[in-house]
Amino acid sequence: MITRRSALKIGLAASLTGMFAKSALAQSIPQSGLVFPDGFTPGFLANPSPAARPFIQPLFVMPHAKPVPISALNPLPDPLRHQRYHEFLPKKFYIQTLDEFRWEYHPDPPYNQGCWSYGFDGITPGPTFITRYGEPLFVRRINNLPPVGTGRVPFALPSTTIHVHNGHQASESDGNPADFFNPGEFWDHHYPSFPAGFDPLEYMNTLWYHDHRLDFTAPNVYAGLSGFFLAFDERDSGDERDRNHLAFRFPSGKYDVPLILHDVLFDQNGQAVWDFGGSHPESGNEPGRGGYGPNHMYTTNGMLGDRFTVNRKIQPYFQVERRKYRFRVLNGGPSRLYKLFITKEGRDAVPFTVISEDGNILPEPIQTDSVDVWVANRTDIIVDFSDFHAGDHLFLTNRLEMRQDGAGMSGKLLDQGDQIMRFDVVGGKVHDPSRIPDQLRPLPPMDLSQVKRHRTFVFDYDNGLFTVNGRLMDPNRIDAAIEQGTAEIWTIRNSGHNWAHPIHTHFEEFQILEVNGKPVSRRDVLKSRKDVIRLGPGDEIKFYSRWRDFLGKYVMHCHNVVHEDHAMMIRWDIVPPGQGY
Amino acid sequence: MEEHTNGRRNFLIGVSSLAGLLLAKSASAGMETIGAKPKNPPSARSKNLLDRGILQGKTQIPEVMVETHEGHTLHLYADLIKDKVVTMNYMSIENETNFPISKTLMEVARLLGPRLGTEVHMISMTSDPHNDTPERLRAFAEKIGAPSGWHFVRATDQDSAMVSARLYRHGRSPDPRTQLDLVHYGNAAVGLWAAFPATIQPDDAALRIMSVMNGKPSKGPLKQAGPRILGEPGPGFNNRVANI
Repeated sequence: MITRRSALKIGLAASLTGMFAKSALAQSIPQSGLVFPDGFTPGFLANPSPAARPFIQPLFVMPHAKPVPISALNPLPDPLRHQRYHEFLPKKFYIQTLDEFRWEYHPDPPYNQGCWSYGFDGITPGPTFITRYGEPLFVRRINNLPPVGTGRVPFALPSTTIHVHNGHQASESDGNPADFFNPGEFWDHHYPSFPAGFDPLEYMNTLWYHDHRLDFTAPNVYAGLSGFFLAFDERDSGDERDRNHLAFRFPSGKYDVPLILHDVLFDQNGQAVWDFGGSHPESGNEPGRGGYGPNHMYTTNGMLGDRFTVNRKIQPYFQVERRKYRFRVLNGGPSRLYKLFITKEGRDAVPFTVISEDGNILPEPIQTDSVDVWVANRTDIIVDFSDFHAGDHLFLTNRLEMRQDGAGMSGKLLDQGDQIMRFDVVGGKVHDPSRIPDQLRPLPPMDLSQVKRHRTFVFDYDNGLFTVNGRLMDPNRIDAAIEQGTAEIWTIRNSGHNWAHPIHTHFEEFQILEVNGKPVSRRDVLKSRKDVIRLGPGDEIKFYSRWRDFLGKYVMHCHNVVHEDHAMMIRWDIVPPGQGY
Repeated sequence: MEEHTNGRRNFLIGVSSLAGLLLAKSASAGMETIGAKPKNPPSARSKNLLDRGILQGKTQIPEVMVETHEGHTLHLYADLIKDKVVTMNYMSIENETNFPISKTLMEVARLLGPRLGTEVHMISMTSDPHNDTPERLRAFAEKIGAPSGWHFVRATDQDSAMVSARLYRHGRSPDPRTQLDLVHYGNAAVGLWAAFPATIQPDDAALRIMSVMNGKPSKGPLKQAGPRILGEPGPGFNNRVANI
């Protein structure tokens, strides 16, 4: 990748279109020869989803979550349940209700009858939280899902815990996998809205919330439990006309669009199907509910759908004016990995600007023609449509081919790729007050003198089990006790030859020191604050991080949530100084 | 292989699913005898799991015959799993010293209390069917005090590997010397299945098992599940309010 500034300097900008597509095809993808599990036929091959005409429905843009008066909370928030509550007194209060409902993924039959889904306040993805640093918030989440055996989503568990990924919040508000709440119960979350260590270089901006229930995260998120959580600060202020000279003035308002990608498999009734459970509604029995029949589709490798959805709509279109847009692209999983391009008429790659990795603003913008977006990765890109004309069609296109069993990439780039959504250019030239500064948010300095420990975590596959350092997740076992206020260096290794693992650690962002023994280039998006590692087969990644501000338990896990549900996770705790191990 | 499989399937269809009616030794020609040494390596046999057409119910568990520690010969799916909440794990008596999975599950059984045998059933399949005879399994169950509702069973190597391949996805041979394993649990009536590591705390395991039991819509006021008051006693693995 090249920085935007250097691209402009050497005059590449005008000639990027098309050229990048060829260079991308020549790129090597880290993987090796892959072996399919015996006899496995993935669901999307055995029983493909019904047809759905692409690009006939508009993009669903989620409404913003609306605060309620504190008096709406009964009982009132209890400060004794939250660390540092009085230091970060909530200024806004929210109530979210988790429910089951029919969601229309597409207007064509059979999808038009609605797919039984989980969601928040009647929609999936849930409402987008718009938060500002310095304005702590309090969210009460009520589980109104139908109890086991009474619901219409056959594969998900109506017991949930909601994690704001990767919020800097106390353990008890983090959505710890074991902190589940069942139908008829609620959980209170306190989000203190301050950057790690009060360091303004640690502001995060594009976060998301999702279910994190032990053993059931994959089907629960797949069923609909995901949404965006955006955070703004003085510089990433959410105002493209901001007069503050420090403000970045990225495209804002309706020009700042969150896009969450989920690939979904449907049965012939338009109901979402989950491969692993094998619980597969089929037509002909019990109208509206479906019967169940033989199904030879299930996997613990990963779950692939054959319908690409954006904000839970199958292949939508989105009308864009001739100006810059900020798209916050999130891979919501469950298992598919993307290499995303913007293509013109489905062919030539169009350059765009990356401004963040994992939701964190980069030190400087990077101009490129593609971004790798693994599960839970967020990347904010700015696409400039000003040089296109009304009637032009551009596509968000994935070119990364997956193994059919969902475990990782196949090693090939697709020639044409999957067109995930379409951008329809409309209207004439418009005034565009937004901008992309040459310098963005510097990285916080790494103080190696603070490094207290080095740890190594090996992700592997052992006779059918997904392991970390040869063990399976036990939420009662502390795999790493990290002393508050210290830094550590972690080595994350993939000992598998076939598996790809997006590895996510909670609470604090880290900076990658080395990838397979080599330092990260300044012009690489990996030169950033991150919380999800793209760990390909055989890869080893070393990172530096610090742990501050709260005590308690958190987790690191594979964010191929099928692997996570099969216990590829560790618990780590922040402990008082002197009590680490 | 395919011919053998079909023959076995037809045989299974032709017999009653009632407990105790079928003895392993009366199996048709070509059916492996439970406890006999395998003729082919399990990994090769599990290859055709998906082609056998013997996967049952919403969660597609293979139907195989098992002998129980109580001396019955049963259909694994039809008699022990169908419409039930169950746990399923592999164990071997010899390996219990190195990997005391049954000892751990005994604590889980205590926590499940009267639910065990009524609302939930436990199935422990030996991964050492040649040595773990029904008689030895009975003695083992008595020794650890396994309550009613916990079934120690053995199947042929072939069938054991087939069930294992279904649960673990790959052609995984149940390893009689393992020190790392999962316990699968599910609600077969709903089609809801998951797995927890065998080494987790019993109270954690019991909570997870109970979470897949059929529930009833709650009436009355909402309950606060958490977080519990800081410093208040509760399990070390979560921040939930204790005993809500």
